[in-house]
Order: sequence, then structure tokens, then C-alpha cells
Amino acid sequence: MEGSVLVIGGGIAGIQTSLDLTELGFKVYLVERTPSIGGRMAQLDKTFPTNDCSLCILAPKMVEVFRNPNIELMTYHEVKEVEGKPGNFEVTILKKPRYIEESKCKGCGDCAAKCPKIEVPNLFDMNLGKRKSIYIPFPQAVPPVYVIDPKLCLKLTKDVCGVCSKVCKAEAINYDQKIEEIEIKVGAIVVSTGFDMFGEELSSRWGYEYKNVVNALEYERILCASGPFAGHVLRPSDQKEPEKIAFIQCAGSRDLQEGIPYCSSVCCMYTAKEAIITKEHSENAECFIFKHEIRAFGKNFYEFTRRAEEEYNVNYIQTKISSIEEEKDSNDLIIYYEDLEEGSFKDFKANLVVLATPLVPSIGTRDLASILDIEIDSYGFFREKNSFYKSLSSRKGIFLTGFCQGPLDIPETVANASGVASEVATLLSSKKFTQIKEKVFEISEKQVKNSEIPRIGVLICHCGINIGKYVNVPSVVEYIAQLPNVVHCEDNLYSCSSDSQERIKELIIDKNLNRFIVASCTPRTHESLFQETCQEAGLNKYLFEMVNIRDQCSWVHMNEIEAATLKAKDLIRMAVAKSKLLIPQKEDSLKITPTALVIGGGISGMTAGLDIANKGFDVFLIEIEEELGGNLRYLNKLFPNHDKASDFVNPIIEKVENHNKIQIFRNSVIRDIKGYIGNYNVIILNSDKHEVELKIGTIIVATGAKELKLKHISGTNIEKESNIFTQLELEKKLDKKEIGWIKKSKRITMILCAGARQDEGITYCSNICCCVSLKNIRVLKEINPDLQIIVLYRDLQMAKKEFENYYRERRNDAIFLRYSLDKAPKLRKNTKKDESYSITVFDTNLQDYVEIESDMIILSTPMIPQDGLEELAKMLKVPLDQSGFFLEAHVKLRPLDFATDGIFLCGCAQWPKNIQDSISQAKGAAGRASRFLNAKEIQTSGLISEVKEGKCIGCGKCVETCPYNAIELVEVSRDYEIASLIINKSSVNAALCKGCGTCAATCPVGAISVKHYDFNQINVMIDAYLLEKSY
Amino acid sequence: MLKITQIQNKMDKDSNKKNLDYYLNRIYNSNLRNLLNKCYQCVRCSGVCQLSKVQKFTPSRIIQKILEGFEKKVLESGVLWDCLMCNSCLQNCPEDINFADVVRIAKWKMLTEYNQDSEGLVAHKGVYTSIAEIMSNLDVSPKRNLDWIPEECEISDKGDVLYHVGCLPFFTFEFDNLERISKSTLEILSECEEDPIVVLENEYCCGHDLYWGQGNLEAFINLAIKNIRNFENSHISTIIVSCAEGYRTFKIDYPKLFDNFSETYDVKHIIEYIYEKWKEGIISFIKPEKMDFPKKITFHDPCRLSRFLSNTNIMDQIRAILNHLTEIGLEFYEMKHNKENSLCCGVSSWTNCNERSKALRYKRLSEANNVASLMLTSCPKCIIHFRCLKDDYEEFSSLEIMDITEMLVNLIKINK
Repeated sequence: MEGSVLVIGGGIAGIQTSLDLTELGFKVYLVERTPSIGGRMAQLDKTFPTNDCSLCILAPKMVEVFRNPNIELMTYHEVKEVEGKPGNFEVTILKKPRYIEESKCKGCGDCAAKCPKIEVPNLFDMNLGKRKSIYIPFPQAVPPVYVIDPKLCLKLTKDVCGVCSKVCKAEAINYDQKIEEIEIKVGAIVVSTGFDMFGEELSSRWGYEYKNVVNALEYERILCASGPFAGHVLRPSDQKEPEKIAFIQCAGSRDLQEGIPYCSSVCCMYTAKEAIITKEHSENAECFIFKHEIRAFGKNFYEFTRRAEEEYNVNYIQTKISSIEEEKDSNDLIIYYEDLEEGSFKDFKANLVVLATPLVPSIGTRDLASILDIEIDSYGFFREKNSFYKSLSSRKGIFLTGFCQGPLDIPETVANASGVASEVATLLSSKKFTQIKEKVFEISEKQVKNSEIPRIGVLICHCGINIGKYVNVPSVVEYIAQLPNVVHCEDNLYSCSSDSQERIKELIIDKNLNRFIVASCTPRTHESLFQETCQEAGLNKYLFEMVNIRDQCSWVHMNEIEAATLKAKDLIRMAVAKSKLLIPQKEDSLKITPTALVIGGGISGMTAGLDIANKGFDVFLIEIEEELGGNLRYLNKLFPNHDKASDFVNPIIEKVENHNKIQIFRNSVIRDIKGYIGNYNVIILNSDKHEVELKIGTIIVATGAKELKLKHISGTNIEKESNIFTQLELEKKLDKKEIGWIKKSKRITMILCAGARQDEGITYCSNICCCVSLKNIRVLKEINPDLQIIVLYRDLQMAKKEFENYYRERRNDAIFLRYSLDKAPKLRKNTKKDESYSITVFDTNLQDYVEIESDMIILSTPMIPQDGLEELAKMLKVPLDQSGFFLEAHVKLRPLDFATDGIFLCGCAQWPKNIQDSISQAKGAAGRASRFLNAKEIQTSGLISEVKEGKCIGCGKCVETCPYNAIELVEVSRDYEIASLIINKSSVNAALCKGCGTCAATCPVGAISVKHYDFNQINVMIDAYLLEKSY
Repeated sequence: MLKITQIQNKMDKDSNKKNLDYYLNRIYNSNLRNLLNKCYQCVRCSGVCQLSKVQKFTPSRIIQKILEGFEKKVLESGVLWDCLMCNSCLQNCPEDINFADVVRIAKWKMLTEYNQDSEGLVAHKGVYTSIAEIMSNLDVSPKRNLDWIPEECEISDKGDVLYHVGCLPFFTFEFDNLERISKSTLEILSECEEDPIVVLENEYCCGHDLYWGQGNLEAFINLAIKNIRNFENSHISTIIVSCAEGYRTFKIDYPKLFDNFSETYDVKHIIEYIYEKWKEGIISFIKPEKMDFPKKITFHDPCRLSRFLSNTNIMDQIRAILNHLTEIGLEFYEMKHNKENSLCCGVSSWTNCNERSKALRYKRLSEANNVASLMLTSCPKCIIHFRCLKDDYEEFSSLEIMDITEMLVNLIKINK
């Protein structure tokens, strides 16, 4: 068996899987067929709901992949052949010729600047922008290595030119590269090949052939500041600002005849986001969203669409689109549509049309399926083995993650990717850490005392001509060399090359340097490289300082060589000043107790517990009730396969109960949680009302959610009505043998969104209710085929790929009437006939009132947070969101983590979700937690904050402001002549502190400073800048 | 009146230095020994020094060292930054040696000649003193937030009576409920006066903290000049303040700079104002319909209203009012240390809070707690620091702390 994994596809799914896998102890080969990782997320402008710059939050992860010594990054590679079996796959990979030596190219861009070939459309900009024939897909591409397009390059096609080879100072150009075959052995394979977006494939009625009709990915590039129009909202035909922009949803989706049958799941939300961003970019633009219905089922999704409407004046129109045509001279578009609210046919003139077109499995999915010998489903996605375990492909040892298996949004993808990493780790657990490299330094660290005179070495990088052309490097060298304490200063072509690393080591040793500075590109990508080089030469890595004279000087001051040079001198002088005050910092290690506490014994908690236990760690599972199984215990049949719920859950309960690594506490509650990552002391009150103390390494919160019980509906008190009940109560009734009552009923009405998506109270959509309702329609009809079922709905909120077909089948079983929030159904109990109701509803499709007589009414009420979460959140020191669910660290990229290290969440504790997603999250959370359990000990950073106890007045402002809960107040006693008193002092937990410095900035008495960035070090830089003469 | 505006008209950036020297000479004396030479080491000062109760600090030893010629050593050590400047020593000095004032002078020396930095010693990292310093810049004119002004109070930028609000509105960014002091004061003034009260949108800081805390005399002088200019522009003759520090500054320190200041401007603390109106029969005190504060009260004398003001009888006026209030059902009790013997709140002029100053405050609150359930005072900084400490200690949970105006505004009836 191999301790390594092949990940195919370098989008966010592949990136997250790879990063988690290395932390779980496995080497990763990450194969990406394009020249850079990043995938679709790198192309997006902003991500909702926070409207963070998409690439800004993704790029750090891309860099992490790039720097990870245990990830072999194989971009511009493709998988050719796979043989073998789980644990021992032999994979043949094709290395496509970049015509550039990856190890030599420094990404300086000198080649592209001189490449004479006319520009061609850039695929990264969805062909709206331009690139040369030697290019890098986008500035933040990882790896930062150029590639030659062999179809366009004059040298490769006609054997003329060759300019790039002449200008490349790194001698990285190699026109003779050929396709290479590489053989690797891996234990498992993860497929994360993502999606493409329809464009030309659309039916002609969507008008995609017109210049001013773009699909949403193209529009993302238009919005993006680094896109083809530098972030100005312009339309392609004349590059003028459009005044009226029409966003058309479901363009080609959910269309069995001309398009694709399923819902792509993410379009409603990105459309709302794009409309909001558009409004932010240009105030004059009017945005119109042509929707059929809104599917906003995720955390705060529905509220986000309301914000678009109410705060940003985005117009939502409920429509069906007939066709889109272009007006000849103006290139404006006429949209012919039916207004579903008014029932009339209309036309609408827009300057620009943005189509939310279907997202489909990326091109080549079928070919890859045959190479991997795995199945694909009727939609063209890879087929999951089992609808509850979506990450398993049809072949053992090959896993699926991300969009390649079905529509998912980014947080779902990230959670799913962590889950897959965890599953792979379980499969290969006997081989973990067998192929992982760990860095060992040969030269021991030399002692540098504060009193020693600083001996500073400075290296200034030309980066080819990337810096050298815009900054007069030799004059900078001359200037820096004469600064006090600078013992040596030199320039070089590429500071990051391997010979430069040797040179740095040689300088540190030969010249007995005790500080080192590199002035080159960004510390984000290169600081750790240089720090490691310093460590190799025996210099503490905190005695290294980096200056970014590329982004700060040559890039932003391209046309001002003198100013750029002066600024480079200023910046390096400041770093020299700071470096004198640098202090060697120690990184401590912290032991991790290899046990996990799982709070909640529902499907999420059990899945997470099993996953961790299967990796060999002790798990304590605490359940407040007597029985394991959570809400699943009350369910009857499961969507979509109609398996019996008990058949599904009982074997899992049995596995948990019989697992020798899992200890279950039933009827138990948590009394107290103390400590921090790796070292929690948890006190549990067990079923005998005894306190049990547990030593815990990490905690998983899986407390689930519960169904809302309504007391009133449209003003009628329903508490005592036995024939009005919720879906969960229906499930409980169905589970019993006695079902005669269904056979007797003639007509049942289901009211969806009962108590959900309201203006007050529960404002959100609770995700699962539509699906539950549809499932129960089928169950009821199977029992009593003559039963009439009427469904009153507002929007149908379900986007799993199988849903659309399932829904279409149900339309034969029930009558669907659509109501709006402002005209909610009215309910009246019939007095004459016993136990029957009449309901009046305004059907927006018919545009008329309908009166329904009904024997029974079933309410789909939302899921709400469990009781007692506030108290638990307080003990865990983690936050809740405004709806009362637990709040994750980052909605997009850290959906399973809390900001506080060591605590993770999954399932309905985070947000109402179905069984599939709960399982997927639970595995993800288990994987995230296992990274720490695996590690046995973790390194604390040297870059943390430090409290001067004498100065601290214990005001507690730092405790409030710390985003990581790393500070607490401890009591100390003080005795004075006039009084003895207890005084609070703040104390920083090195394991949790991230060195962000918020506390230091907040402390009113200046008692806190951040090591390596203390106030003296910062002040001296400011002084060095402002008071040039004194330095 | 000294023609300050006329002097100022000439004062541009070039002549600034000369002007500065002119004023500096009035409040600065570089020869510390001369100021101390009457000392005969009776060491009373060190015995009463409040700071010495919580840390090593002996004024008499410091004086002795300076007299023996070790001024440089003393100033270099920075020990003088610790002085609370509470004036307890002066209170007990047989030779009237004003140690606090010597410390103030020494601070300017430490700043200018020793390049010492008061930054680490100023509370809240110098945010509030920085606001004052920025205002002292001759090119800067503040535009202050006047949102706190109650609707029923009409204000003007010209008139007879000026209410100098001071730093209060700035503090509300960080501390709660302080605007109640300025609101109460303005309400009382507006009811008593016929004409609108002058409240200036471009009001400058009085400079107290720069004068005492940082020893930044240059900034203080600039602020004083700017203030005078404002006063002249708005044609006022009476200056009302509601804080102890501002009162001391306008009453004692501005006249040192400007010869005719005291003759031109009638400086009154709001308590003094209330006392006078009460004696004139304009104000009387009535029992309010609802008494929403404790009736057992005591008064904490801020140092600036007691030990720092030898010539006023404001301490007695306060007591006359508080004793009178027993007629409407309140009870007034003195703390063990009161009037000029009052204990220090531990922090003056935004010097830094620390565990030692907490001990001082703890002691003071214990005294208050022993006799009353409402401690009144008339210094926003005392209030800020006492409230902060009170919140940390269970034993003071039943003690309320208020500015005297906050209470009086409920009891005052105007007889017109």
C-alpha cells in the first residue's frame, strides 16, 4: 500500500483536499491540466455573502499548496492511464510541454513583455481579455511559471523570432520540450475536475451569439478589477456603460427539452451578488433579475436576496423567457417574456444581458471516466456509489469531490473536500506519514544576544528585469551598503533561485551575519523560503526581514524610475532599521491529547465519531437523550431512494455502539469546558448525575437542529387541532403500523414555508422542507393512490441533481399552487363537517383565489436551533449567528472550523441540511479534527502577542477583541500598605494566538505587544522613513 | 485687557518662537534648584505622599538630590513621570514648596532637553492627549459634535455666558453616560439665563492635560492663545466650566499667561454658579417626584477643586448645598478623608492607570462605601476611573457614582 494520493483537478476542491491530506500524513500529487491551479474560484470577482475578493481569499491557499513540501504540483499535466487496485494504483501522467523549464522560470514576465506575437483572447478572462503567445494565465497564477502556446508561437510554428529565449535572463526557455510520461504510484485517487459553463451550447433563444449577451462567468471577469475592463462595468460591443442590465436566471437549466434538466444550484445567489456588485460599481446602472423562482436555501442566502432587492434596489421580476433578440444599430437586446405576476406578455429592452447558464461537468469528464474506469450518471457527472455517500465513486479507492459529482457551492465543496481527505486517510491509515518529508536543519542555531552589534546582510533582487528595469538596483545597493550596521549588500538576478539560497548561506556564515534582509517580491510567497535558508545557515528565522520592492515599487511606479528607486531605498532603509531590533524567537511545541469529544449523537455526530475512531483515536460521544440517532429516529422513509430510515440508521448506531474506540455518554450534558486545543478538560454530568472529567484534544459540535412548532397559522390557533400537524409529526405517524387514517382521507393540503422566510421571526429558508414535502407526497400516494394532495408553495428550494426529475414525477401526484408572502393562505375550520378545513389561497399562477376543502393540513415548518446552544457556545467560547446556529470561521473557505483552533462543527448545528450534506460535513469535520490528533504535538508560532504583567490593568478589552479567544483574565493578588486587592491580568495562550496584533492595538495602557512586530520595531521604521538623516 | 488678538495678528510662523518664549517665561523656570531651595528636609511631603503608599516614591529625597546637583540623574531616570501631582505634599509643606509645579516644569525639560517620551506613560496610549495636541496646531480648527445638546436648550456662538464643555464629548467615544454631565450643566444654565448660552463648535481644549500631564508647555500656550481668540470673537464675559481641571486651568493658569485675564473674564465652576443663584433666590431645591438615586450621599473632592485652589471656597459651597439637601430628604456624610485631605483617584491628567493606582482607588471607594451609597464628585476623570474600578469589584456593587450636576439637575427649580 502507498502513503500517497493522486488528486486530479486543482480548483478549490482539489486544493482543499490536498492541503488536508498532507496534514493527515499523506504525500499528494496534484495534477491540473491548465497551467495554474485555482480553478473557477480564481476567476470570480467577489464571493457572496461577504463580498470578499474571491482571489484574495483563495490565493493564500494556492500559495500554501505551492510551498507545501509534500504536495508535488503537476500543472499542465494530464492523467493518461490508471492501473492497479485500491492502495496500489499505478498512474501514467502526461507532462505537456510548457517550452519553459519550470525549475528555472521565476515568473518575472520579461519574456511576455517582449513577445511580438499579436495578442489572442485569454481563456482565463473567458476570452474577453488578451494575452501573448507566451503567457501566464493570471498574475497570481501558481506556479508562477510561464507557458508557450505552441499553436501561436512563431518560433514553434515557423522557426522565426525566438525573442523570449534572448530576453530570458534565467535561460528558462526550451523550444525542444516534448510530451513526457511520468509514472507514479499512489494509494488512492481523488477526482475534483469541476465544471464548465454553457455558452455557445445554449439554445438560440437565449441570444448568446449577440455581443452584449454574456454568461455569468464572463460577467464575473467584466466586474473584476483585474479583468478585461479593469473593473469598469462595460458592455463588450462598444465598451460603454450599460444603463439597464438584465440578469436572466435558469437560462437553459431545468429544461428537459432544450437544455439541461437539473438546477445548477449556485445561480440564484451569484446573480444577486453580481447585481449588488454592479450597483456598487456604477450607481446609474439599473439591474433587473428575471427569475422563475428563487432558490436561496443556504445560510443567510434568502436574506441576501432580500437585501439585493431592498437595499440595492435590484428589481426581481417573476417571469418565463420566450426569446432574446438584438436591436440592429444599438446592439441593445429585447427580451420577450411572460410576467408571471401579472399574467401578461411583455418585452423589455436591456443594454446588456447576463445569462445564468447551466453549469455542466467540465469538458473531458467522459474521457477521464473511461481512463479511471468509473461510471458517469445520466447528467454527465461522475456517479456516486450511494446517494448518502456521495464522495465514493463506482470504483473502490477512487473518490469524488466538488462539482464533478453534482452541483455544489463553494462552502459545500470545501466541506466535501475535507470529508474526502478524511475518507482517504482512513483507507490508507496504515501508511500515514510514510512518504511525508520533514525538514531537518544540519547546522545548529547560533546564539544572537540583544547586546551584539547587528551585522546585517542585504540581498536586492532584479527579478530578471521585472524589478531591475524600473528600479535602479545598483544605486540602491550603493546606498544601502553605506548604512550603519550593513556589513554586506549585493544584488542578484533572481533571489529565489537555488544558487541564491547557497549564496545567502555562504554570506551568513562567511561574514558572520546576524541579520539578513532580502528585497524582492512579496513575503506572501517567498518569506518562508528565505527564512528556511537562514535557518539552514544557523540563523534564527525571526532575524530575517523581507522587503517587497516589486509590488510596492516596480509594479506601481512603472513610469517613474526615479521615484520607484527612491521608494525602494526608503523601504529597505526602514527594514534595516527594524532588523537591528529583531530578536530571535522560539517556537514551542504543544502536546495534543489524542482524543476527540463529539457533542451530539445524531447522524452527523455518529459519522464524525466513527470516522475519527476508525483512524485509531479515542472518541467520547455525548448525547443529551437516551437514544442515539437524532432526528433520523423519527423519520419514515428517506429521499430520494425511499429506503426505510431505520434500515439506514440502525446499522450506524450499532457500529457506534460496538466500536471499541468510542465511549458513549447517554442522557448526559456538558458542565464545563476548560483549556484549549489539544488540552481540554471537559466535565460531563452523566446519566447517573455523576461528574466525569475527560481529557480532550479536539471537539466536534454536532448538536443538530429541531423542527419549529407553530401555535398559529394565519391567525388560527392550531395547537389543539389534531388534523393539523407538521412534516415531522407526519413522519412519526407514518412510521407506525396504523395507517387506516390515510386510507380514509380524501384530501390533504401541505403548506410550505409555514413560519419560514417571513419578514419577522424566522426569516431564513430552512433548506430541507421542500424536499421532505415532496418525499411525503410520494409516500402518501403509495399508501392511498386516491388521496388528493394539494401543495401550497412559494418557491421550491432544492438543487440536488436528482431533485428536478423527482419533482416532475410528483407533479403527477399532487396539485401545486403558488402563493406569495403578502397573500398568505387563510385557514378556516368547518363547523358543520367534523375536523375539516377550508383554505383560501391566492394562486399567483392562476392570478385568482382558490378555495380548498381539506381533511388534513400538513405544515412544512423550518428547522430551528436546538435548545441550550447559547450556554454551550459560552462554554466553548465560540459564536452563534443571528439565527442562533453556530457561526463558522469563514462562510466560504472554513465552513467546518471555528475561529478558535481545535473546535469544529458539522450538520444542522451549523445550518439546516439534509442527510447527505450532514454526512459529508461530518466526515469533513472529522478530517479537520484528525489533522491535530495526528500531529501529536503542534508548533506554536514565535509571532505571538506578549503581555507585560506589570503594566496590565486587567480591563479585559483585549479579551473582548481577540478574534481567536486566545486571551483570558487571570487573578493575581496585590498587597499594599493601604489596601489588599485582587487584580485581573490578561494572559495569552500561545497555542491559540495568531499574532494578529488586535490586542496590542486595543490595549489602553500599551501592556501588550506582538513579538517581531512590537511598537519599537514599528516606530523605528517610521522614524527611519521620516527622519532619514538620523539613519 | 492685554491685546492678545493684536499680538496674535503679528504672530505667524516665523515669529512663533519669539512669542513662545514670551509666554514660556511666565510659566517656566529652568532652574529647578531655585524653586526648591527653601526645603529643609522635614520630609513631611514623603509622609503624606499618596503615591508612596503604593510604590517607592519619596518627594523629599528627590528634592534633596536635585539640591545636591543631581538634577540630571533625576530627570534621566524618568521617576518624575510617576508623580500623581495631587498636591498632598504642598498641602503639608511648611515652606509652601510647590512640588507638583516643579514636576510640571521638569516634564517640559524632560521632553525638550532629555528627549524623553511621555507616550508610554499616558493613559489610553495618548489618544486624548493627542487630540489636544492636534488642536494646539495653529492651523487646526476643530468642528465638534454638538449632537448631545438637548433640544430645549438654545445655544449661540455669541453672547455673555460661555459654557466651556471641555473634553467630555470626546470621552464618550470610550466611556458611557458622560454626556449626562454636559447635558445637565447646559440645562441648568439655560434655565437660569435669559439669553442663549454660548457653546462653541470650534471650542479648543483648555490644555490642562498637556500642561500637567505631558508637560508640553508649547502646546498649552498655543491652546491658550487660540482659546482667548475664541473668547474675544464671541464677546463673552463669563466662562462656566463643569469639570475640576478646566476650572483650575482657567482660574489659575491662564491668568499667569495673560495679565488681565481675571479682570476680563469671570470664571465659574457650575457648582459656584448654582450656589450663587441659590443664594440670589433664583434657584431652589425641591424634592423630585421620583428619586431614582440613593439618598445617602458623600462627596469626593477632586484635587483640582480642593488642594489646587487655595483662594476659593468652593468646597464649602458644595457642602452648604449638600447639607441643605437634607431638608428634602437626602443624607450627606463625609468620608474619612475629605476636602483638602481628600484621597486621590490615582490618576490625574491622563497619567497611566496601573495596579498601584487601582489600589489608591480601591482605598477611596472603600471609604465612600463605608458612609454612603452615592458618591458625588465633580471631575469626569475621577468618575471614569472610579466607575471602571467599581465594575471590577463585587464589594462596590451597591455604590453609585455620579457627577454632582447629574443629581442636582433633578432637584433644581427656577424661580423667575
